[in-house]
Amino acid sequence: MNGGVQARTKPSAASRRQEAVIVFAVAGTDFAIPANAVLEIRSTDNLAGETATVELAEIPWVRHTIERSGVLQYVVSIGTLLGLARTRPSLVLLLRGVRCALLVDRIERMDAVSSIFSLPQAFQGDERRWYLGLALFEDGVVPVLNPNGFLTRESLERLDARSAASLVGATV
Amino acid sequence: MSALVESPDAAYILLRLGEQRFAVRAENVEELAGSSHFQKFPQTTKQVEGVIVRRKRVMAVRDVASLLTGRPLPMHRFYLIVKQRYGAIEEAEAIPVTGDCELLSGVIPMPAEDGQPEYFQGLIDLAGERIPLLDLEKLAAATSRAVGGPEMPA
Repeated sequence: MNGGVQARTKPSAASRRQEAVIVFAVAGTDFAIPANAVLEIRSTDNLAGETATVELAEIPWVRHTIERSGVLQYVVSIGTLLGLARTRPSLVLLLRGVRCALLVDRIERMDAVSSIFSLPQAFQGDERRWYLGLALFEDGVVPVLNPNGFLTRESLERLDARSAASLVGATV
Repeated sequence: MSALVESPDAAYILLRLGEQRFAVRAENVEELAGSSHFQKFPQTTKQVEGVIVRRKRVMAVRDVASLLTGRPLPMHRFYLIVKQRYGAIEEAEAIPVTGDCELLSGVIPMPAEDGQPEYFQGLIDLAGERIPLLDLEKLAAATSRAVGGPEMPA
């Protein structure tokens, strides 16, 4: 698991180590991500010239790539993936150790949580992949995104194939 | 007709969903909670409406009214906090109810009748009203199947 955060059902007294998270908003919904999973936060305005387009009908939440140190990262629209209302994201979270970056509307705050609760067993759908768990703050519960949960290996292979084909097409 | 072996000392909680009443074993119920901070977040499990936080625990809120009465409860005023089993794991889960929960003891449920849903564990006769006794584990599985969800973990 990236970021070194383990979801657990019950916080124990022995595990009160505080975990830093970044809380951000997409389409009016708050999400969190372990701070150590984020390598860099960039404005979408500053990415012009560094991105390329990639489109696959079956993966509509990825439309752009960013190349960093020779590695292609796929820019994931959290809003599209999770079925939220369309917005105009202003920031990109470049993630550490995974091949995706996240489009978000705005950063709300940095915060610390002493525990991330496991998603209750009643949840049986894709959310088990999307979320590491749920962070409990004074004002409520915020889903903690799983950096590895947005692009499956199959999705990455398809995107890589499409990107490679686009590159060949561009150079011929 | 399914077999039902109940102790005469067993107690039951009567709950109301809209106009209909149902029963669950009292031993499967933790508490009746008043209005709690109900929260939704993006997810795909249709029979789960969101979560509430009780005593620093995050609990899923399961819509059982849609399956049992044909429509979800329009408002969440009370939650029956029940113990739900997922294989070896037991978790507290919240079921929105209309209110008017009652503790009932000194009754012996009758077996469920042929053709009744598998989540009817039996029937409790109260002055001529036959109140279904719910098997929560089977009910959870049925709510998942009803909306085309995956099989519950055994």
